[in-house]
Amino acid sequence: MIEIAFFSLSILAVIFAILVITAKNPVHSVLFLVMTFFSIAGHFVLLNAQFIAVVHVIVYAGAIMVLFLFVIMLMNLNKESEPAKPLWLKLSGVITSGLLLLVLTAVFRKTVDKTAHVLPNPDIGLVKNLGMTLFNDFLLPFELSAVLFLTAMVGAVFIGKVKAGN
Amino acid sequence: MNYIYIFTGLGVVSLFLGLLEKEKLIKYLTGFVLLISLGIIFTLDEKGSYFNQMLLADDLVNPMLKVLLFLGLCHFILFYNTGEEFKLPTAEYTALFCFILVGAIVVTLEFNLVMLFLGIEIISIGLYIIAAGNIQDEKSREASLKYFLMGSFSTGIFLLGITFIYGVTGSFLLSDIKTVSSGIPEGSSPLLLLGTLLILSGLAFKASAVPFHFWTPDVYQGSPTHVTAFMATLVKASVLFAFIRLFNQAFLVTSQTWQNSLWLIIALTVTLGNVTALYQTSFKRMLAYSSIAHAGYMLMGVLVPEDPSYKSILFYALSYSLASLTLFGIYFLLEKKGKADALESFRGLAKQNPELAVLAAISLSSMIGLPPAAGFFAKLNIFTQAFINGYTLLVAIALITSLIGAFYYLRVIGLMFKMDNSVEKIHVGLPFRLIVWVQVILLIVFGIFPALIQ
Amino acid sequence: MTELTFKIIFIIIIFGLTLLIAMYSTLAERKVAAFLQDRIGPNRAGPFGILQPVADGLKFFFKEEIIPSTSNKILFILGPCIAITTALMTSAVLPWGPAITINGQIYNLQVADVNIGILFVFGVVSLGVYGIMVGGWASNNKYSLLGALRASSQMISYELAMGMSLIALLMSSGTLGVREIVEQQPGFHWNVFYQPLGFLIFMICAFAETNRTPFDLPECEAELVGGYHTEYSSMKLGLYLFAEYINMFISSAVMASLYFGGYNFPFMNELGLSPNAISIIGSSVFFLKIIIFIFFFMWVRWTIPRFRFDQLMHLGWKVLIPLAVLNMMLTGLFILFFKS
Repeated sequence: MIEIAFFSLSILAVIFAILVITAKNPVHSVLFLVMTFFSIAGHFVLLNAQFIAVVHVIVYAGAIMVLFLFVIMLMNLNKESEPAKPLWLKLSGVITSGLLLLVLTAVFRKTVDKTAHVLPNPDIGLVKNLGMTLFNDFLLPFELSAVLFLTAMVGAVFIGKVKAGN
Repeated sequence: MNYIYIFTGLGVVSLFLGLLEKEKLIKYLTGFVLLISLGIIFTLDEKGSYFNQMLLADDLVNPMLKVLLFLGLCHFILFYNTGEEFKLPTAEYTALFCFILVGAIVVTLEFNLVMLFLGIEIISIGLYIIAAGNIQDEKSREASLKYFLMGSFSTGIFLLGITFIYGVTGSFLLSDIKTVSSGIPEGSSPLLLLGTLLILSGLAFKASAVPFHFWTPDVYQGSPTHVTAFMATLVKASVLFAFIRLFNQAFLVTSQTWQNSLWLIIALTVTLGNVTALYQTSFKRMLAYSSIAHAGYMLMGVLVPEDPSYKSILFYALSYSLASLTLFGIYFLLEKKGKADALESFRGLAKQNPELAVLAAISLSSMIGLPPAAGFFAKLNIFTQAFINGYTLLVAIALITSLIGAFYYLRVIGLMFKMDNSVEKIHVGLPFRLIVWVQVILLIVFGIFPALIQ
Repeated sequence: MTELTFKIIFIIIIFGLTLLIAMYSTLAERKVAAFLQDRIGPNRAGPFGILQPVADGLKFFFKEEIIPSTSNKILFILGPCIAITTALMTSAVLPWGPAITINGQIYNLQVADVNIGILFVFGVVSLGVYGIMVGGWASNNKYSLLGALRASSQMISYELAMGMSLIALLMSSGTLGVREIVEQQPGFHWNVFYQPLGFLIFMICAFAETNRTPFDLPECEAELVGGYHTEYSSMKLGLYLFAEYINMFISSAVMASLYFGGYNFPFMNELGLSPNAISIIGSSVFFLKIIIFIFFFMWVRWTIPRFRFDQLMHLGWKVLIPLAVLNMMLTGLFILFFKS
């Protein structure tokens, strides 16, 4: 049962991810990306981490992608044209990413883990345990990510002000 | 750790002061805090591990913190007026400056991959933004966007590497990674190997080593000069400090595999950086390629798996950063005079501004590695250590390329001392003059008494 | 009766009730409007106009269906579907009454008692905006697009304040499960008395999230024709309008259960009634509270004029969010000093 769910979610995630990059229309891309996030949220649910799953949906699908969509719609990017790239660029892109794919598959094939992994604590993904870990073991990274977000926020103001000031 | 609190707080305070439009106060406060914290760190050593070994301050990284804070102070005073000239919002600019400094400190003290990642992200995001400080200029926008796109890509690769390492070792802690991976025979865990290589490429991007250097010339050229100076000195130094910490503390066991890759990266970096710099006509672009080359030399220190490598990298980073800051500062003055971004702008500088010309000449000779300046011992240290550890071929390449590199530095010196009467005099402010002199004197002092640092 | 069959029957009942209430909300809206404007309102279809919603529904089905030829057909149809689906999904985590006992077996009157219930509500609500955005964009009409953009920016802005006001509530209740939150408010210990500011912010945001007056700028007729559903007709338009009423019902239910004790009523345990009687009375009380809230929604709609768009953003970002943060800090301080 869980395996079926796992594989169908994985297949969906991969299919949607491929559609994201192949869709010509940016709005479609964004919507497919939302679907990809949903499939990934499903994986979190399978791992008994409902909190992360829901936060994933709220943050990524509900906030970030809406803003994405917002920008794309405002910029009216729905023209189905893209600047043509030279052939050698495309070719080199294909070759390098093909190589990366090769290396990654080779690595994963070699590291097949035959031991069955059991989570030491299956409830680790629940809100309470997550909060405990976050605010005890990982307090400093948590606080520093606040600095990170503050930097990004100040940056947005900075760019806005630089533009407005001149 | 305390400096993280101090500078985060300073950033937030300056934002609030910006709300009250107390722009002068922000500047004085920032300078004051930088000075005070520099005073504190020279009297009190930072020691101990913080928050379950997220950060670890020990004798090895303490001098690095000192260097970072010192460079921060120098940079701040050198360019303290830039905000007004570029019409940048002072409060936000200062806040970003502080946050980037926080990121640099985190990266230097890092003892946990999570912290390394966060620190690098704080630095990068701050830089993406201030690189666009000159937003009317298309080049500045291009620089920012290019840096942002490529930087996020490299961050993704870096993160992938971290997950692989975590998958193998089950920990983010550097010492744990080392213990676990030392139990794994060499080459038997491709996942660990790939993780190491991905982290290596992610960091090499941030340190602008070939073949991950493509962003460097464009970004260095396009960004406002004070930002370029920041990237080339403080940020680059902190990334290299992170490099040595990470590879010395976590990956020693897998050494053979990543060392070969790093060897190749270094050889490519020093060659390509120096050779391409020869063809540049733009001064900033030339310094960009030179900074690529210097990153290559500094990375040679990472290959050496002993404690002295910390010191040699520190010494190199300090001498390179001092020289580089001086050069960028002087170039900044020329730029304010409306000179184009070209080597030709330096023509005849010695006629009207012999002081600046001499200072620039000393800095350039330090970059070449000529004896009276610190650059000589910096290179000597790194090269001898690499040589002792058996990297003969690499040292040979490094020596040849640094000889090639001497050409383009000498060309600038030659241009400066060509007499040209059309040059007008440049007024030099007092704080600027003070800092530039301090930097150059330090260069010479360290060049004569290198033991001061060791 | 197994747990599963009960759940299925229960889901169908909740589904039906939601649709029924949403249906009659349309009638109630017009009746309330008439009452507030001193008119009679619809009274032709059936006694007191009771069949009016049926007539309206029939009308929607028989109207001509128009899909603009330049629009994106799939997304155009997908828009209202997303809107109605997300609107209906939220009810899954709300407890509709105390547990009921049938043949000695206890059944919870809740579809899914997940421990992150309130976040689930949030997640689904935050997805609701896609229905509007996709529909507005696919219409290929500038009024629709502007309406959609307004709707999304409004919903994102107010979601922040809403979440922050809720955090204070979560801090004091210490759980994310809706049933537990409701159970913590027995008798008259309603959260609204402990979190008055939080409730106020939450309610204002709920108005904005449902695009109701005074925040109905996305469909502001004077400026935007019909807003995001300008190009819609027939039942697709009906679905959008219906989704709005369902949202209103659900947010009333959420407010009632989070801040007004849900199915709790005073002297619930002192009256000595049998559990099943309590269950039935509790559910009725819950629905009564919901209906009062729905009436409040309508009352506001026919009383208060619409905001200007800059006023809306100003209220959201510069008033509600700082207030919510303040509320959060006060709650935190209170818990720190008085509860531990």
